[in-house]
Amino acid sequence: MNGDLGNLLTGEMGEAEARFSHEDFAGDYGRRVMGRVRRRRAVRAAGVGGGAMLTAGALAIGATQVPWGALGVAGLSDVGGTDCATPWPSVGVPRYSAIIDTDQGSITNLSIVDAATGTVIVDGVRQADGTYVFTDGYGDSLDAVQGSAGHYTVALPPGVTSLESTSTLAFRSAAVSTNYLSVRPPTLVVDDGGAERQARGECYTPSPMPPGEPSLTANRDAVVSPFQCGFEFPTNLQATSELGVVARVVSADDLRSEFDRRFGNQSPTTDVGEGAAVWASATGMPTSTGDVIATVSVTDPSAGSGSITGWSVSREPGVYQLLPGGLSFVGTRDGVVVATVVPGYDGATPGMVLDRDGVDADPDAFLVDRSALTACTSTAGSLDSLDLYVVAGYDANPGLVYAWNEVPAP
Amino acid sequence: MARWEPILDEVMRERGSGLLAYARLLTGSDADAEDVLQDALVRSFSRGRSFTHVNAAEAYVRRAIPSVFIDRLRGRRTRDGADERLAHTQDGAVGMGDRDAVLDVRAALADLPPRERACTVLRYYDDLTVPQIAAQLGLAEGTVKRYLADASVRLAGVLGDQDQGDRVAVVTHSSKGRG
Repeated sequence: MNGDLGNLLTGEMGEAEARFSHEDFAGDYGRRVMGRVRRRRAVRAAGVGGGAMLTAGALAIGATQVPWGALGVAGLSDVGGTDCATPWPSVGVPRYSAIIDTDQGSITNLSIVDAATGTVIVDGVRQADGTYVFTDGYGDSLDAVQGSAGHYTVALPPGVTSLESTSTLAFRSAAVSTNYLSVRPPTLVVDDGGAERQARGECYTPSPMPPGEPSLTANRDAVVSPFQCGFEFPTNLQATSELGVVARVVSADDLRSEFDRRFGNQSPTTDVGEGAAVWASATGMPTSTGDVIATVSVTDPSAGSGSITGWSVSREPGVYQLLPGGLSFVGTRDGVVVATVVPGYDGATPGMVLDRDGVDADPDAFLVDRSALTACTSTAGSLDSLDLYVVAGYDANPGLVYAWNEVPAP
Repeated sequence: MARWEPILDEVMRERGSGLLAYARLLTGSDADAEDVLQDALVRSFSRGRSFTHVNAAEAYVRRAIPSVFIDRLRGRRTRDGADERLAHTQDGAVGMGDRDAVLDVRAALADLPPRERACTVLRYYDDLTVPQIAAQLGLAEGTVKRYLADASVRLAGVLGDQDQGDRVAVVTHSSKGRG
């Protein structure tokens, strides 16, 4: 050892590298890292870069925004197709599977993801002989049976089934997407030991509001979540030691700079106009730990009695954790929510960006354009005239925690 | 398989030991190095970047490692504050204590508070300038200078006179080999 610190560090590096060369980092952690990257990329594709997902030829079906909450439950029977009209049976221990058509010729791979979190549920890859191999997000093989018509019935990972223990509507909140336009949406099957139910395509089409445009006034007492139409904010600000949210108006230039810093040339949107935008951050939201990442979506963490709006995978393959959390914006008139952010068909939220600037960073929400908001009723009025609130919430287990803050005027 | 996956796999398989060693320099702990490298890999590959070659990916991951390390410190700032205070209080004892320990640069670095260690590695191993370190770690230049100055004092104290009182010549990579 000599006195040259640089050389000392180089020597230390060499020694450590030689020592680590006997370890198998890829073998020990490779699958975990791959899974985390897949989920984060999927989150960005589904929740942030929805436009990019569409331009890539995506077709997605999802029910994350079906309003199972106070306003939506009454409309359940009007949502979707016949089998979708009734929530999945809650008896038994159901097993989920997906019937996936692969007879489209040029499909090389496909995936089913939870658009709320980006968690990969199924990956399918075409082999040289034309057959498909299906794996879960960790690369573990899934049982798949090929039908005579070329379709596959794929048993979904056991962890998906565990969702049923806390929700009879698990899959309604887990939007499903495929990443190839030519792929018909998979049929989801639940078998609870008795009846087998199938739902396909339009059954999972988001339905922002049930038909009939229910009266906000009539339902106001039942609305307990600031994410929902009809909620009346009792104060301009609510924050607790567990959860808080802040918002500030930023200029278009500042927003572009921030996006450039975070995303470089991979900016989630090029739609930043010249007007002011809103930058909101939630503090106290469950942060990313291990493989629990990006559980925050724009969806309401309550979303009705049984729905799950956010979930992700723990470090142990096959063991799933529920960490629903939401961060979003709502438009209000006279303190009552009259517009909310409703993701599109593929789960995307044009006009709004969600991001964590680092693994453990607090989630940020950027409202780039008010077109991200969808009016609750036709009488909500112009979106530009609404007051804005940023709202956040998560399932603190037990109990839901909410925070909100009125967005200052530009 | 997505295009990024083979590159990520290659980085982990072929460059993993080098990246781990680099993370180890910063963290002073094998376990922390593994965690930091995992986070750096995830951060580097999660944002839609398209690496066309493993060298470019490795360089990006290597650059992400100090940022991840500092971010993790920020996330645990309360505890780390205590750690750093503890490190400072122990410093004098180390400097005047067990002479065998000062022969090991690993021990000397491990005695540095985390941020001083990070600045030291970036300055004297990566040969970055103070402004570059400040930019990479998200610190003020003055803060970086202070960390480097404090680290130099500590390292000089524990390493400087092992050869009959010779001072540590704190030089950069670019100075190595000049005699």
